Amino acid sequence: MAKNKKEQPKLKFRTALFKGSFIHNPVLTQVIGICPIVAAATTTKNGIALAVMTLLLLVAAEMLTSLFLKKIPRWVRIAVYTLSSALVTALFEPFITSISSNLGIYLYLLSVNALIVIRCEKFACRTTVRNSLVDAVACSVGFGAVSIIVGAVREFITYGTVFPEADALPKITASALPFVGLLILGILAALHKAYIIRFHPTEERDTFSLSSVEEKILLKDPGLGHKKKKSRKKASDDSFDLIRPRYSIEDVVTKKTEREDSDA
Amino acid sequence: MLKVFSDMLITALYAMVVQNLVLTASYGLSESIRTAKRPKHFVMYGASVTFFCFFTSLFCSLICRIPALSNLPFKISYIIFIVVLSVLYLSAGAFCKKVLHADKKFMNSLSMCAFNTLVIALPGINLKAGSTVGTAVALGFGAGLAFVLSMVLIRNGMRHINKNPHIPEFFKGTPALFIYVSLIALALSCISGEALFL
Amino acid sequence: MQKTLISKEYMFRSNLDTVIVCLALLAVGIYLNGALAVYQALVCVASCVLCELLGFHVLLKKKTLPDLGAVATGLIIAMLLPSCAPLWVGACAGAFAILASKLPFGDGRNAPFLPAAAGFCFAAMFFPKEVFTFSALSDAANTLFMNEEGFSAGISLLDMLRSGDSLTLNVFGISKLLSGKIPGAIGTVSLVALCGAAGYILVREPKRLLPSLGFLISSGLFAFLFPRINAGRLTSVVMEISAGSLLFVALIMINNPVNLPEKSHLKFIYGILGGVIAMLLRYFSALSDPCVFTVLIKNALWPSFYSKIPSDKKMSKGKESEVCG
Repeated sequence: MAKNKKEQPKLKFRTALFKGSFIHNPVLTQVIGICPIVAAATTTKNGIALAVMTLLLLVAAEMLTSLFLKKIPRWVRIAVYTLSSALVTALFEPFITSISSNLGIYLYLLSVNALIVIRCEKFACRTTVRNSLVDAVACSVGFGAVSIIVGAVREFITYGTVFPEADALPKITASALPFVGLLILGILAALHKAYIIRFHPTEERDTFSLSSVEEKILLKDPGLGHKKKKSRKKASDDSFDLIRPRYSIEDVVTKKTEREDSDA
Repeated sequence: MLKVFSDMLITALYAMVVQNLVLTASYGLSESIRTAKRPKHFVMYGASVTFFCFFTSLFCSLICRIPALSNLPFKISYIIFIVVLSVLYLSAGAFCKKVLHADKKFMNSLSMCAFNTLVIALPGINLKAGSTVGTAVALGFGAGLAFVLSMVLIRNGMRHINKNPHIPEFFKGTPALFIYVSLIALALSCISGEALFL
Repeated sequence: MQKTLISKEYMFRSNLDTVIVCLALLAVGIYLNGALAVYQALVCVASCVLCELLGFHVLLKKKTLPDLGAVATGLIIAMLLPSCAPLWVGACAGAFAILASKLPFGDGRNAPFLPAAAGFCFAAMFFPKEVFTFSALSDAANTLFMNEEGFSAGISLLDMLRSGDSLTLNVFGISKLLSGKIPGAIGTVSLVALCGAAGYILVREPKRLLPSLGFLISSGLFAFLFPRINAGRLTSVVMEISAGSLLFVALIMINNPVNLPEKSHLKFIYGILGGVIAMLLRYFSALSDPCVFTVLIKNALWPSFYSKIPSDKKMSKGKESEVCG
């Protein structure tokens, strides 16, 4: 294991950025950290503020985890970097409120965003500082892009324009409701999926789709015996994995390491 | 006394049904969606989230009553809330590990139940609404139940989507689920109209 | 929610019934509201049909238009809107119903939420003023072309109930209720027309009225036990059932076959729960007429109860089988 860590390959920034932010977008394919987007990304400025804050938090948390927290037990580590994220939030709060002042409580809630917890646990604590930095940037870009798009669409619905004048009156106030955010996320996810199916079919992985085994069981196979019930259970455990969404960057690292090991 | 109880009941019902904190204010929504994939662990997740919501709300509400801490800026209060939650989580984690000999999987799940936006939003809501200790406790309990309700509703949607072979290819999985949850949120938002917690 | 997929033939038959009933209600709506009711219905239906063409026929290469689902959805939405509502409200509601509530789930037979209910709820949340402002009837009936400023807002039965006022149940009051000469949505005001619709469904498919019966019994009982007006419990029952879209929801929407359980007693229970939810919403909701939201809430909640109730083992077969009534 120690050997593997030393030999861990460097992530190519461009590939990692494309895969981590777009192909395996944390929000659209893995449903991570949607709370601030759905509730707070009601204008473009809010979207930008959320994106910047997430970038700062994710970079800080992943660097901290990668540098100092690898040897601490997991259940203790989470409390440490959540606390550190809270401090970072408080530190950068004046800067973020200068971008947008109406994020309310959601600005502070970003420090317990699932994106930070999952990326730190899934990636940063297993790899080098450089790779963690690349991953943090890639994931934040993916998260930020979605949050800005959702904010812009909702602002357009509310005011009829993006970046309206300061005294513009909202035409439709209901667009700030969470169901609108979820609906826009659904449409974005569908567009994203259509693009992936068409241009990158091998990369098509959806956290909430059926695995092929499950599909066979639920949709085609009418009579399930005891043995098949067992396989249903197994399939369910495999595909519905809570803390193990499938990540591109980690795959790159693991696959490369495995390949090098087998070559050696 | 009766008024206190009726206030608590109304607050709990409000947080759970009238303005379901998860579905109509989207606190802890991503955890709820991802947890809904594991119906066997509903009881564990529901109980853990309710536990953390309840006690975080209670302790933070008590701390806000200390005169020296009552007039702090929100960002300092918020750091105190995170410290309270962390202490609560570490104590619960240590208890589960040392006394109950909980396995690694359970400990991993416990962290997801403690550190989510629903749990840490509650002290903020209490602070801004000027809740009493009683209503804060009720809000915590109601929030836990709201999480359970949302898990059950989202699980239904997941089952429906997974069993439906007619869903267009590009809507299968996450996109259809987002839209399903959005329609549930639309259904529930009629009760409270456009008013939102914070 | 049906455990087995309903057949295309049954879906067509059910949609045809809905269209016929809605056309009858529209006829009464035209008598009461003039040409505005026709415009509203045409725009809603056109919006639904266009979106269905665009979404299903062009994008998914699926011919779903012949099952009349889009026409039925458009007509239901039109019946729930006031005649004085701007036409674009109906167009938006129709587009939302088809594109957001039907298309992502395959087709009408698989939609977990009734598309018409979703479309109307969307319009109610986005444009509450337009959806819940009813014109005084004399204004609407005499108007041939749209002119929003020319309308004066009338007082509907729901407004009366909210403010604690009551309708005197003498010959004049009852005739008003029966003929529907009260401000309200196009297809929801005339008791005679709605009773005719119930009669038609009773002849065509009696079992479809079971949830409606449960719905009306529970909502009537609720109104009897917890009256909002001081004019007596009976008046409360009559007014609550006649007011807003409750009767329309009970007869046309709550018994949508796609989302109904299969067994008769479950259908009745489904209706009873729907009635209770509708009345609770009516008493506590922030919106003027939240009855249609009951349909969405029931669609979301019912599978939680239903999956607990032991039933026949058709579920795992995944075959298409006809489920009648």
